[in-house]
Amino acid sequence: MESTLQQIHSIMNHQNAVLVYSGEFNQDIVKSMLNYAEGKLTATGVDDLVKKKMFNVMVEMLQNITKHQFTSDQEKIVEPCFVLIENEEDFNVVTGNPIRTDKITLVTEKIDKVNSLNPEELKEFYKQARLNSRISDVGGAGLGFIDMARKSENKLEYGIFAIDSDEYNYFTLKATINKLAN
Amino acid sequence: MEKLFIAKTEDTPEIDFCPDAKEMKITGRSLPEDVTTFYAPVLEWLDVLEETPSGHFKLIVNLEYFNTASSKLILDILMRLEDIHTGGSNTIEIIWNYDQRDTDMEEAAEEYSELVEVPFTIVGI
Amino acid sequence: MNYTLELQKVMTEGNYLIALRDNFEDLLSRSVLTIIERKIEGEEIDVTIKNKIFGVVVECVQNICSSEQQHASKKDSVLLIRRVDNGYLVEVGTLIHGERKARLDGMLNELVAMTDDALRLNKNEILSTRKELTLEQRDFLALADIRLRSEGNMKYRMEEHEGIHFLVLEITIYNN
Repeated sequence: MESTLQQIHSIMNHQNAVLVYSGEFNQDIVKSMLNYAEGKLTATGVDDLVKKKMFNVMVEMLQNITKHQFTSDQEKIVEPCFVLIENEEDFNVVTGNPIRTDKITLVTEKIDKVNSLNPEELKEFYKQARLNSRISDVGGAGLGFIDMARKSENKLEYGIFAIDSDEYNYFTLKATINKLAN
Repeated sequence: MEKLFIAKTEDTPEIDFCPDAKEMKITGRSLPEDVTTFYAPVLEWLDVLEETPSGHFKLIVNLEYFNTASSKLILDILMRLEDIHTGGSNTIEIIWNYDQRDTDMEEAAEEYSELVEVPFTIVGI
Repeated sequence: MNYTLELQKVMTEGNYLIALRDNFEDLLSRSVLTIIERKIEGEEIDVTIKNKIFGVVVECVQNICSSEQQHASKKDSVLLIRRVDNGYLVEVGTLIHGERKARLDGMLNELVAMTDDALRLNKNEILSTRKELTLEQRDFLALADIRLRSEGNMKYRMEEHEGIHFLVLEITIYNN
């Protein structure tokens, strides 16, 4: 039988994952993940600009899962997860967290919208969204997603997976950052 | 003789060797991968000390943690001190402080004290 | 992205805190430690235990996983940390090549059979040589250190996946 080490190693190998963290997220953990990524990027020898992009996207995504790691009543039916992937030409930052089934459409529509825009439109949309969020405070209006898409300069990818719950699904989000600065 | 000071980092200790106070202090954590480069100035300083008769020196170790690569270099330092002590240019005394809850560190200090012939005091703090 | 959920499942079931796959270059061992430190600092553990975990991870990353890096560009090693009843388990797997495999096989066999006193004696003998350490001596020092720190709770096995030899060490540190 395959050992757990083999199981994890084999998934990591196939996905080119370099770090997997699953468990509670708090500011200290976020900081140490950032620290690790920084060391990693320095070792890879990428441009400072790429480092900065990566850092920004990671901060946004890690804070996002820190916020959404619990289900409504501070309970945990599934652990949030953070995966860092290094491919030949780019890095992926992937997060997973529970999502209320009735919120799925709302979230995926926001991402689809963000993905449909070109960089210029995205910039405009960001300004608009920031303005709107100040006035109406409708829970960020997807500011986070806009920010991730702008900083990563690539489309966001997402997935929705069934878990053992009626009310929740598992939501995964992936951002891609090119190793070569444009 | 000149003072030797190296500030502490996340993986290297503070080195504070002061000829006026006749004290040599090593404080913090030691886990660099390239230990040889890090400790080279320390060993050089000890070479100068050997040539400079100036009295009674104390080595004060306050190490929280060290890796096996450092453990070799630490013994190199202790052996240099032993050379100096037995050579007669200066007398040496070693004071090794450790967190008294850390039994592994206490053991490590005891092992070192058995490996070198220099007055050696181990203090649990 | 189904793998995210899959990893989460395997990790949660096994109480894993973190999994790293790398060739553990210089800079990285420091950040590995930072993560672990942050992670275990929240849990009230004794300073001896903390230093033991630290020590074991440092030796794994700096010596077991990184000596003789012929394939430095590949991510040949994996390091997992999991919580077990009354302690922590550090699991490390690293790709090893022909000569090192034979050498480590023999060394580990010998090492696990040694008494603590014999281990210390051998360790001190190596430390007392005033020469640069050989790769073999470095391996021995690291493994002896791991065994002593874990109070003998070090298991090893050789695995073969996809034609590649893998040395796996399982080290348990118990809260007394």
